Amino acid sequence: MRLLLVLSLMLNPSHALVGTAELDAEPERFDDREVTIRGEIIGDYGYRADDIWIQINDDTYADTPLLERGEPSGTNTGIGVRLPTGTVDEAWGPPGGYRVRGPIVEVTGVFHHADPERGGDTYVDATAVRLIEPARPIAVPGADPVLLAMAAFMVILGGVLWARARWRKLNPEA
Amino acid sequence: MLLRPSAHDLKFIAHDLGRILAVVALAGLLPLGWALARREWAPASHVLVMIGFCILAAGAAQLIDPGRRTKVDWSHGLVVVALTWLVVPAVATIPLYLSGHYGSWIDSYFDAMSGVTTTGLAVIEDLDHLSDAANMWRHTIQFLGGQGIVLAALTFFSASGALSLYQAEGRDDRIFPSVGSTARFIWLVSIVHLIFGVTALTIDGVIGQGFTFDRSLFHALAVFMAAFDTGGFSPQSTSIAYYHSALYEVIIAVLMVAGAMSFGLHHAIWTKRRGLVRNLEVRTLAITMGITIVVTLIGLTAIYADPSGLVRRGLFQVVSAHTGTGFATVSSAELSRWSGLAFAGMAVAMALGGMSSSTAGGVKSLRIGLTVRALIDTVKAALLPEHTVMPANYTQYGRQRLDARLAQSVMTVSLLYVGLYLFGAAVGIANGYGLQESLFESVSAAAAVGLSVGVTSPAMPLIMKLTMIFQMWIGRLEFIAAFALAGFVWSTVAGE
Repeated sequence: MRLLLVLSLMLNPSHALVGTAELDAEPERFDDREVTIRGEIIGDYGYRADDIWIQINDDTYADTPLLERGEPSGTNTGIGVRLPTGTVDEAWGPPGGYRVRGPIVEVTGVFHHADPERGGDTYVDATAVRLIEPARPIAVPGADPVLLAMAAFMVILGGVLWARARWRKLNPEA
Repeated sequence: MLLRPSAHDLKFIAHDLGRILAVVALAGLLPLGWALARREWAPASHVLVMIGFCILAAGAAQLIDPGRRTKVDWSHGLVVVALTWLVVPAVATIPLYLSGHYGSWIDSYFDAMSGVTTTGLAVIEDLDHLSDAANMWRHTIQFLGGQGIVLAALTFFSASGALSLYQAEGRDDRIFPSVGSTARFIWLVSIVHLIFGVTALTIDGVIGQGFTFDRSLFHALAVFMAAFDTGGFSPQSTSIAYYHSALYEVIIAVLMVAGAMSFGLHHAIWTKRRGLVRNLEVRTLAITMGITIVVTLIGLTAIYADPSGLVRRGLFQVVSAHTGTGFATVSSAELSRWSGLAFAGMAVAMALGGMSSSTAGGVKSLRIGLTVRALIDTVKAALLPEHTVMPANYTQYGRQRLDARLAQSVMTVSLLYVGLYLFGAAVGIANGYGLQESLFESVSAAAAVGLSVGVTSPAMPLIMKLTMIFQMWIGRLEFIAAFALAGFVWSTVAGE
């Protein structure tokens, strides 16, 4: 299957890349047409009986997630993609999330705005997929010792104050 | 003569706020446990700071007033509740802001207010790379807010004036004679739904969608809390469209409707009480939901050629709007193209909301039903001979009397909601947004829905964010507690 997909990609030279925001803004223009999108696989791999479902994000965080960028620069944008069974390779690595920048892939397939065969779903039905860059870990920060110390201090002090209040309630004359 | 609040008044309020913060600390244990299990150390430390702050504030508040010596009156209850719904989001903001996923503190407060009031509008950035712990906290605060923060506190702490606190939070169902028993019943209903809802969603996640078990459980828990408490936050940026599963949508729709039902109705169903279909509120909700679904679907025929897509999208979005949840299976850009009848159906569904004493927002079905009933009675009275005596009754768990005072109160609150919707729309228009999108977003915020046509974003002007925070707060409180707080503040300044 993987060989077929690679062959298919070679026989059909890469189409001009389309952003998922563009698909979202003008769905009628791309409906039932072949498109090529490129982005990060995010969230989960959905291994179903007949296919695999993934979410591809092509926002500014797809290459460099927020934790690495440092500065927020907008919200996420992406689209669901249906892949044929057997397409996802273990070498791609896990999908993107808190600890992982997911694999970057280029997907060519037919965009469906409201596919009657799938209950009116909006997605890209992939005919070819190419790995651009495998997943890689994100350097997530550890616990901040200053914050931990602050938390411990507040918990202890709060507990002492509550105990003192309880004692005063039980001994109003004291 | 306006009386300035005494030191005792302030102590009582501090005492109750402290106990409510203790409950927030308790709620923080869920994301903390999740963070530890997932070895997310930084998010764990962020949650710990919030828990520590809550415990410190609670301890200090208890020391100020170790125990009540006098009875708390109705106005104290209103002020405590109004303050609670301002303070809790401010505290809940701590782990959100420290996550680094917000451009400013106001943005994180916006999301915390949206979560606590079960609105579901969000300005978080790069949600898809957020830690599971922070994501779980977003959903936990929706669950806490949906159940009722004060109600949660009343479950753990006995308090004099419990009834005033309970009712001030927008609940008028007294299912059992004591507030404590009623609170425990509300939790029982929620936990039963949680068990069934999370199990069903997890099974579909693993078998239907092919996710791993732990991820399915995470999605199920987060989605359940947002669905049953009509919140609308989703663990992924594309909301429910992420799942591409009709069965998942059906389960969620059932949970949304269950969340929009009053707990009194849940009790009536559990105890197999007869004649529920004659209840004014049940009838009103069924009729308005039916009408808005039909209107929206007719409007959508101009957009979608395929009937399966039209019905699936239309039904889910209207149920989400009418129950005040805010989940979507279409993007904001797509929703903004729903014009004409589709827009009207969605906007009206959002504005009307669910049942009173439920987790939903909006004007509420009972008020709509009573307003229509009062109008019909007025027209009838005008047409009948002058001295005809007309019985003004309605059915709501038995025969109830619709007197002039009740009709006036219901219409006043309904009008206040309409005013709040228009106010938000006017602010949107003044900031350069179109009428349709401004009105949609305003209704969504004020009725605690959470659907968006793209106006709500981190790039939104500050004044819009503040306006929507105000709308979410006052809409959730159903005005009265907010007015009481304003009166309290005024009496502190101008009282003698």
